[in-house]
Amino acid sequence: MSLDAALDRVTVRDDAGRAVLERVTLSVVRGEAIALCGHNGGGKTTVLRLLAAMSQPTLGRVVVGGRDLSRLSYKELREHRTRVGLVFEAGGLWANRSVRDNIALPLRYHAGRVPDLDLRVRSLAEELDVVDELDLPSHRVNASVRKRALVARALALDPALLLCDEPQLGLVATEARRVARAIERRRKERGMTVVYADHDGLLDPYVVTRMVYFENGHVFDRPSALPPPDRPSFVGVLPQALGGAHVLGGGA
Amino acid sequence: MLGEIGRDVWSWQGDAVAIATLPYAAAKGAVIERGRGAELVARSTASQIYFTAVEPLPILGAIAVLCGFSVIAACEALMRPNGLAPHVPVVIAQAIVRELLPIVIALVLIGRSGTAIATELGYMRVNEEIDALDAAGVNIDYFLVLPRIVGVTVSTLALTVALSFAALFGGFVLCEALNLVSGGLRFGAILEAVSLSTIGFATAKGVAFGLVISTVNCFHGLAVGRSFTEIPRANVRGTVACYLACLALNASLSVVALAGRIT
Repeated sequence: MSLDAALDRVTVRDDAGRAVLERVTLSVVRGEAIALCGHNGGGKTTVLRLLAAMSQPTLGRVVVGGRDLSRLSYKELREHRTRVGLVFEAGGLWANRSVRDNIALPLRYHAGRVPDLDLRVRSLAEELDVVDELDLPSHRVNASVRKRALVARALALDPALLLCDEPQLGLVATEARRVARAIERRRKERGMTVVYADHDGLLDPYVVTRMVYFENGHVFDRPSALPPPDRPSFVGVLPQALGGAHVLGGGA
Repeated sequence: MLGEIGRDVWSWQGDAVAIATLPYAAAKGAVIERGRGAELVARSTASQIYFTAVEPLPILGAIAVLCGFSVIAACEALMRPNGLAPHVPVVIAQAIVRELLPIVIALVLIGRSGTAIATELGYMRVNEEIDALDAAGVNIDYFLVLPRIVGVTVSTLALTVALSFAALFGGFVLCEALNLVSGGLRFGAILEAVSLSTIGFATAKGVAFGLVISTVNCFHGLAVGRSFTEIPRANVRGTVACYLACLALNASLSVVALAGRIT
């Protein structure tokens, strides 16, 4: 159960007409774990939202699992969203419900009466170490628990593609490792494709098969072994070599 | 200047169309989703009914009794000395059940449930809760809007009917306790004056006001962008629009009733 994903010459403009992404081409192969790195406003979260079919590009195509996301019927869109898990940067938890209700929500909504619902929720909670907070309202738990609950909820439906916005944000090292392990286990066992947005380059290089650097709406490939990609010289060279179109191939 | 007015009118027109189609979108969502998350939606609807109709019952009951008291006392004081005693029960029944109670309940619910809906949905929008639901494949119109529309409409209808009788009975008892009712006025006569058409108009108003309060505030709550400062603005817009729409609807339905000489 895995999905490939691709952006084909995608341009996204905001309400003011500013280009958030400019002719970006990017492909992610099945089972790959790719990290989108770069400064704030570089377009990382926009890519995640495009892949989740939460927004549409101004120009170009977004293809996930061989399907152009702009041409999905309502039913296909719902199916796409049940196969894609999205972890938000900070918000996204239902504030007036418990952590348990939040993790169980996708299962309750899509799967109806799941016989082993409590067991599945508890198993996810144990994996991400939020068992003690399961019955607390989500607005009363700290940022670290919220983040791990978001990951648990995104994993609840066993997604084929997981999109994680700043997965390390608000987590101490042991918690971050626990989250990385939960995701990596699914990637290795089930071939789940993972796309991370990672502003600070904090992700463990061993859980990322490829890093892509975003700068001013453009995208550059970069191996994860190199230091954090913030050198202007690197930014300037690649686009010229590619003649303005930024084409990147996938590779696990 | 003219351009600005034109843009405003165009924007209001767009909002009005979006608001008018929201109940349809919610109903369509229920059909498309075919019972998905029915348990969650049912629980959410029940919570909305509890919050709108049950929780404020003591306050609304008191308001209804005071309204009933004012009307009955005024009718007794103004009509009976002028030889209009035979008409007192009919006027009391019409004034309370058809005219006063539905709009008073609506005005209270605008300030209570309406603002709560706009605030909650606005907060959910800013906190990315709605985006998260959307990303999880949850139909927002069905999951968030439908329970609020059904909950508020059912509550408004139930409160209109129940509190009308509470107003008649409580107002009568209070007037009697204060010796403001002459021996000629019986509670049975007032009840007999409440015709089926009067109840019909009152329930029609209840349904219409419930739909307006829930739909308008759902629309303004969902229209909040990414900033917390937009939430109070959505609240104000929703409240003002509801006041205007409910008062206009109340007047229109009353005109229809009066033109048709429905008593």
